[in-house]
Amino acid sequence: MGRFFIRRTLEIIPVFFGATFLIFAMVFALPGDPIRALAGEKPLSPAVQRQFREEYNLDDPLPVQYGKYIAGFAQGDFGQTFRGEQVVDIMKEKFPITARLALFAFLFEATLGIIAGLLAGLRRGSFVDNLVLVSTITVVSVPIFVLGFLAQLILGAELGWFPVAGIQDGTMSYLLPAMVLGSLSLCYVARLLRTSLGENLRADYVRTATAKGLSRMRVVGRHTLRNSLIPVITFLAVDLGYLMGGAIVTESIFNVPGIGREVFLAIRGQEGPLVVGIVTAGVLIFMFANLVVDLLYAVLDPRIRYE
Amino acid sequence: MELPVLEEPQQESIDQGPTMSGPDPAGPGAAVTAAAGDAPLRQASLWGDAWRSLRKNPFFVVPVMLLIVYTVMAVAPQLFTDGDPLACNVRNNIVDGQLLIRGPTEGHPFGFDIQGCDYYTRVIYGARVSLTIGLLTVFFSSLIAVTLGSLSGFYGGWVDGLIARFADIIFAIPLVLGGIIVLNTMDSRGVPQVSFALLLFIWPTTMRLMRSSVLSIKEMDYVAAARALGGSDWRILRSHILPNGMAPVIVYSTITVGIIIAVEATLSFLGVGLQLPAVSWGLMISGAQFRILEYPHLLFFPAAFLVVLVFSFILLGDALRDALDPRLR
Amino acid sequence: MRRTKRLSLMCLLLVLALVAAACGGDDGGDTGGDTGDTGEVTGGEFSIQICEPQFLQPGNTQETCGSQVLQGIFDPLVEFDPDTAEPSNDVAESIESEDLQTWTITIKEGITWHNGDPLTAQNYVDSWNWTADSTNKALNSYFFANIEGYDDLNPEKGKPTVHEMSGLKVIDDTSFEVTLTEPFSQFPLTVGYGAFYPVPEGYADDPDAFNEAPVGIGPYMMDGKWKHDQFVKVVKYPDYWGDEPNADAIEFRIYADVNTAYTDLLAGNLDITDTIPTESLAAAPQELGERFIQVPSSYFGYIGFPMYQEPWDKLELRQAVSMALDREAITTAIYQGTYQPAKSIIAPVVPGFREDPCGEFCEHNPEEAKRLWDENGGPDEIILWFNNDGGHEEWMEAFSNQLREALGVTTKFESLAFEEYLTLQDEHKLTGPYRGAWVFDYPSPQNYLEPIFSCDGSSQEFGYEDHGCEEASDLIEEANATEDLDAAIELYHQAEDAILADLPGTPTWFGVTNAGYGENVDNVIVDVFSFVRLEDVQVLGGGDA
Repeated sequence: MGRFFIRRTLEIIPVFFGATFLIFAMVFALPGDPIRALAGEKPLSPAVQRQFREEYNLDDPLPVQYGKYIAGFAQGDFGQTFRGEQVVDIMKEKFPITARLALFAFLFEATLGIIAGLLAGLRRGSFVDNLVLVSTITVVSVPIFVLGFLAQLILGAELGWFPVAGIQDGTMSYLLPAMVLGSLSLCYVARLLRTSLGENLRADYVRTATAKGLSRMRVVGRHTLRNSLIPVITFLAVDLGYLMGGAIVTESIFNVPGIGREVFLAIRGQEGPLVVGIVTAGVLIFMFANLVVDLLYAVLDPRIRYE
Repeated sequence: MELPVLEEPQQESIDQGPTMSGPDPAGPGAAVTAAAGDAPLRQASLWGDAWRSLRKNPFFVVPVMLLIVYTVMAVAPQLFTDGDPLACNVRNNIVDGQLLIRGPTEGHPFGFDIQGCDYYTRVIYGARVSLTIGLLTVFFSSLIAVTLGSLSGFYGGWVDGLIARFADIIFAIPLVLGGIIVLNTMDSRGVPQVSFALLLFIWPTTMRLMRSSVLSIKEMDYVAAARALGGSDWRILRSHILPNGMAPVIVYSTITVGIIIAVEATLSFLGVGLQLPAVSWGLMISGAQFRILEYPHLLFFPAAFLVVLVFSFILLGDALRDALDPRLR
Repeated sequence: MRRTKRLSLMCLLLVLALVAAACGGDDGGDTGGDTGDTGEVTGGEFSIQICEPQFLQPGNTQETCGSQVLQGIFDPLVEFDPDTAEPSNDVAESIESEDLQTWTITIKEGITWHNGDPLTAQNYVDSWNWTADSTNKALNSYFFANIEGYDDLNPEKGKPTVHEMSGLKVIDDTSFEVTLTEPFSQFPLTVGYGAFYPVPEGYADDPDAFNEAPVGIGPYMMDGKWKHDQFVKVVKYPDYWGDEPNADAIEFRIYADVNTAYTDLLAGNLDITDTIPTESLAAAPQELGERFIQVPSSYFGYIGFPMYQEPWDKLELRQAVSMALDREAITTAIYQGTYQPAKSIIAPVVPGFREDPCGEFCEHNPEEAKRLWDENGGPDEIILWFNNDGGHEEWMEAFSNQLREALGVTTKFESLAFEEYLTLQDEHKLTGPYRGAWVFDYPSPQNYLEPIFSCDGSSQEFGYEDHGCEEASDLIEEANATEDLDAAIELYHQAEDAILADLPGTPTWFGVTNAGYGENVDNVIVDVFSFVRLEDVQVLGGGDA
């Protein structure tokens, strides 16, 4: 177990370098001159432009720029934006907001998803099962921005149940965007649990338990549910990592000043260090979530052993 | 849009390490692995059985019929409309000197769009782009995934390690985010470019799916037998492993087509999808989004066509899985 | 700045303004301001939509969102009337010069910074030097390019060795002298711009800290720090030198998307927006009633032609495209009838505007366009260029449909990120008609003609310099040097006619600011710069917004 953990942790290192370089190269490849666009259609003094290029190493070739970035990174310097803001400050400010949004989305998808999955899985082919099936597929089929916009317009503006946008109303403001953000995963959770329940209900040990004369409640509660929840829980752990990065659209629609919106704007403005910083952080969170999933497996399912 | 996480790949993260002991076939959520593993025993009848059960299943028949209609629409839109999707004039929307975008009226069953185009014609012509992007992306990403997944699972060792790490990097970047960055670097954004940007980021899930299939099949007795008989790597891969390992990939790909079509629309919403004057549902929906209170038909028609298409693919994938997965039968 | 001899029209306006200011100078404090209708002081707080500012520093703020915030925090040396755009002194007591080259600026006494320090001439000199100095990478640096010594701070190569412009000298606490590189009659108008705001003592030590919580001299002062992507809050500055502003506090609420802001306005969560999205314009009059306001803005849209690129060097083809464009249809159907079709270059918001100097070539005439196109070997395909982040897709698509229909061509779009678009425009690499737009720096017909259309205009990207720009440029120069206002305008008209005859770009439409406000506020005034007059806004019920 210990060795496994160490190996998995070490594997993060090449992925870290790979991901940062990949993103760095892509931002590098963005066409046009970011400095020229800083001043919009107004002229910018050549001396000022030169000063910018020098300070941000914009005239260096890609490997040199990347080297300088990594060198700075090693000293705890994540770089700064063209506005002179420290990337690390922006991340400190924006990550908690998205984390909060992701957490609400997570709670939403986990609770409702498990309830829906249970209802559907225990009564396969019933009306509830078909309802869950159709409604989840519908949600998957509708692009998330359409869903978000409809929710905002109907639940927010028309009915006034939720704030329309922004985060000035505290927790209330997060609810609607979180529901939209979590809706897709909710469907996966429900369907995952349904499938996995279906499998487990047919397993031999369930047959044995039923044969022993245990009530259905007890069979489901004691034996099946626990095993069926394993894939759901692992899915949720990975999904938490994904939610952090998947918030681009939701944050734009609901005017949530989180990391997703920030990275979108940063790509537009060719803010290399900011894009790399945010994406890398997302990658690390994701990989960490993956690691947790592996460990969870071992804890939840005694049949699995790591070396 | 964190699509790569559907039901099957759940056991993936656990058995991706090259030196790890082989996956436990009875492990949790191993439905597909087990399915693929059982398959050889009734290889001859797997697809046959599947077909027999499928053709009686309305959840298979209806989506297939819908998809046929969509395909005809994409290939020969002229059969549905004799209009020209590019023949538009904003003057069509000016009534008595005022702007009025008319909804369904006589001769124009879907009304007009903001550009004064006949919306029915536009929506019909939009099928081609959406379907092409979905199929193109999924086809090529599956190609990459099957190749890398087979190599990875079959050879193991450093090949596996290298491919796994590479997949990790890509896997960790959300699809929409990756798509935004890549598409921003493109000079123009047509169907090939958008497909390319999307396929770059979706192959890892399928690759892992393939890899775990291969891993479990590799351990089968009949593979050992083939090897003992002196079968070459290539022969074993081609005639034993690929045919049996493909079922979960096909199921997953079918579902992915639907998801990709929805993602294309999302990219258009973010302004990095297809460029005008392309005719696509994504562009229509994103153009309509802020007008839906006033002109609901602008959102309704393309969204309905899109949703039904995505819906069909997902239902089809579901039906296929049920049919191909003996444990659920 | 490459702008050479400047107009005397401005000089005239200026003299008028200074006279007016001198006459009314003393009672400025209690007449209720120059606009007349500032309403009564109501107290209360209101919220107004902005986008995330780039900066909140005089030296760096040039986009509208940051500028709108700084308008509350600062007062300019010279201000402009919201209706007539006429200039008058604000913080400046006087701006005078004998030779139009050496200017003495005297500021009013008794003005204090929000931190209590008195405002001094030194603050202005420090601010301008900081911004001009290339080591500070200030985006507004160029605005000081005509002050003597600017080049020393912006050397061709290497780093500057001095950090003060030789053309700036403090005379005493309330006056300083500005020496320009050459006589420049409109200098007093330019200092109304935000780049010319002062900065408090010690600013240069930590400009980043200032950026988060700017200290100014205006009616409102910061209430806490700038909360990025969320809001900037300001409250009334108790020791403000001028008229007391109506509201007690303002929240500048930051929206990433104007549509979201508008939805929020309708839901009653936001009080003022000055950018109602095009898509919502049709419904706005019903949704807002009298709280929907439209004010002409200085926006002038045009379609530029790359004259450096065949076949666009041919006048007839440019004319054909101009005649294929159905301006009225687009302004009605895409801009919901708010924008005004343009058939001139000089906009309605400045003196010298004429309805239709362009004549037949700006009229929609597809038959004639087709004839011109075919007879002059127009190509089969037209590529249209625009930037993809400014909401130009809809009218570009409509325009392309019109071209297809009228000329029988196919069209292709090159929609690029703003960065790339500007770069390619600078490098003369566009291959077809492209989107262009102009917003004035100061209200003058000269500002529409010279920068965009003169041979060496700072924003002239048509390649006009090789295709007969001289006639128009000479006329503009002559007009700039003409004392008499009417005579000058007559010359500007001639220049405008000359440009329209060459048609390096064809006018499309003049803009409006579409603003709206909620039921909590009143007396919302939008000026020609598209800014909301913050100090005039009244909060109804005097209470919490």
